[in-house]
Amino acid sequence: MTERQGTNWSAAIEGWILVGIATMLLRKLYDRQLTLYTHPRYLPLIGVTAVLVLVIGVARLWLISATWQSAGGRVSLYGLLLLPLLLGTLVPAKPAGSALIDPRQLNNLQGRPYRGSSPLSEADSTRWTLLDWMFARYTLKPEEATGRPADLVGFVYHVPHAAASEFNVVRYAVVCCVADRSGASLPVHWEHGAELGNDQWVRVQGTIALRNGDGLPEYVIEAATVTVVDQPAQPYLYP
Amino acid sequence: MAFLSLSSMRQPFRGLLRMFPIVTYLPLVLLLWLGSGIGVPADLEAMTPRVQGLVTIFLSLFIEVLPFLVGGVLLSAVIALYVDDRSLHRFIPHRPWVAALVGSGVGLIFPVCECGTVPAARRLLHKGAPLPFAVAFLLGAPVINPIVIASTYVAFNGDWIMVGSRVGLTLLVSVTVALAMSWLPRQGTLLARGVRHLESGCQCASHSGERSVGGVLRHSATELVEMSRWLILGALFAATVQTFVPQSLLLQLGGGRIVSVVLLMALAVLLSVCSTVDAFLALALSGTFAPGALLAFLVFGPMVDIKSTFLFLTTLSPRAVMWMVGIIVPLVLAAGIVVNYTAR
Repeated sequence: MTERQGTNWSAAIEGWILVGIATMLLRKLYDRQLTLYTHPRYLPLIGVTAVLVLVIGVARLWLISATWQSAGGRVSLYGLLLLPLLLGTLVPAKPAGSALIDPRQLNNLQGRPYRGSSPLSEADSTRWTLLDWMFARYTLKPEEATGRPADLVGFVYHVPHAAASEFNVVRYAVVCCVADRSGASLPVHWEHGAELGNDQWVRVQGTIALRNGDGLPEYVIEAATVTVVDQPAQPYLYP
Repeated sequence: MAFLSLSSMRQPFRGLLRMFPIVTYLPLVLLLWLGSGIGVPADLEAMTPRVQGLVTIFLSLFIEVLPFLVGGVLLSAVIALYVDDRSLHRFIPHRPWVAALVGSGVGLIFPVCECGTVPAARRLLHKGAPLPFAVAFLLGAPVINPIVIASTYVAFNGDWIMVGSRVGLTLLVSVTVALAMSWLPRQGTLLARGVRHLESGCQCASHSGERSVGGVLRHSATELVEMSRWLILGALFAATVQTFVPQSLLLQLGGGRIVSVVLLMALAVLLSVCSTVDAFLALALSGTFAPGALLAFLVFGPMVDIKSTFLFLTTLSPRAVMWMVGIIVPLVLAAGIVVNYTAR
């Protein structure tokens, strides 16, 4: 390392990248975009972390004029450090959507993790979420579910090779962050289903019908109305 | 402040241009271009939602792990500046098996997940802590800590057998691996180059900080930058695999007392979820997989997943990481299979 008075380029670049990452996180917190990535209970922790990273970045910048130091050998490192900053800033923040669905893994929730949100404690099934319906599929007798009204908000997903008049209304359940997501969904039968595109957020109102699924009777919503709605502020469900 | 003078700019930027590593920047440019959707030709338009999904998973992993990494880095800086080597030598046992046993239980006092243990273990090694202590801490603390014990208890509806099996097997594996590592030849080559640099008692600007808040922050900055690269690499790799390799591909390979253990160990590596929440995922899989496979998922994931394996490289040499993973895999696999054959 050559040492002489001048600019410490490593400190300058690293300090600004840390400040940039902290600012990006604070901006996402302020814009309420962080819930696209994590469970809301982590927001205070992430806010504190962003402030700490900001302070650490400023502390790094403090050394900017201490000793001249080339940044040439660390260019690969800076490319990696820039990755979350640039992706978080320049790529539009989107919730996990249909592109990440593995059709064979939809509804692989087994019901049991979500016992805390037992639908049986709420008699009015129009207030049930998709998770509640998943739970109901494993706990209710078929005749108890048939004909019940459903009122659900989710995004549209067309299962490959399904009937044109059918789509799935989907919400991801997130325990901690998007990496642990599981898809909860119900098929919707609606004559204009083909007109809806994947990832379009809709409100589906209708009644539950049954059909044969793999081992368990599968619920299908016979939709009375399907309305296009804005993406909810919290697009995921939290069991 | 003489912020920018031509004479000081010329040399670093010449170096910067000469060393421009396209390999590092190419994925960044591709992700930015496809993810932003700007100027993407029709043939590649279908890639944009996928890449945006990849970016969402990557950022979610990065954002979720960052608090624990920052916590670990701050703890490491405090250890570096305020804990003198002699005190540490007095308190940390030096007999390998005792050191391993104590190391794996440190998480009970400092509850950290796998990303928080790495900077702390790195600093402890620098301070002269024995390798078995640091390795056992790295592997044991992410599970043997009150938060993870509580989350496993809640997820499995108070099933103490599952909680006890998870903690017991983690203890067994972490102590065994730590002891095995202490018997490996060429001990000097088991630490990462950065740690060896620290061990040699370097006095460079970033490591000779004074005991003050500013000193702690400057220490933390150097370490955070160093460790973040591995976190970013690991998160990027995990996000790419999650985006392009369907889980069902693994899961449809099905049950079987042996195959199911292998599958869930592979899934644990692939998902790279934090040890504080993985019990809830294991529960979601409990209808499909045998108890031994679930146990293997719960023990193996916090020790060896994509992001933490990359982070280990900041502390241990690639040779040591390979040995570590090479010892953990058969141990957990065997334990999972034994449970599958013996559990009712």
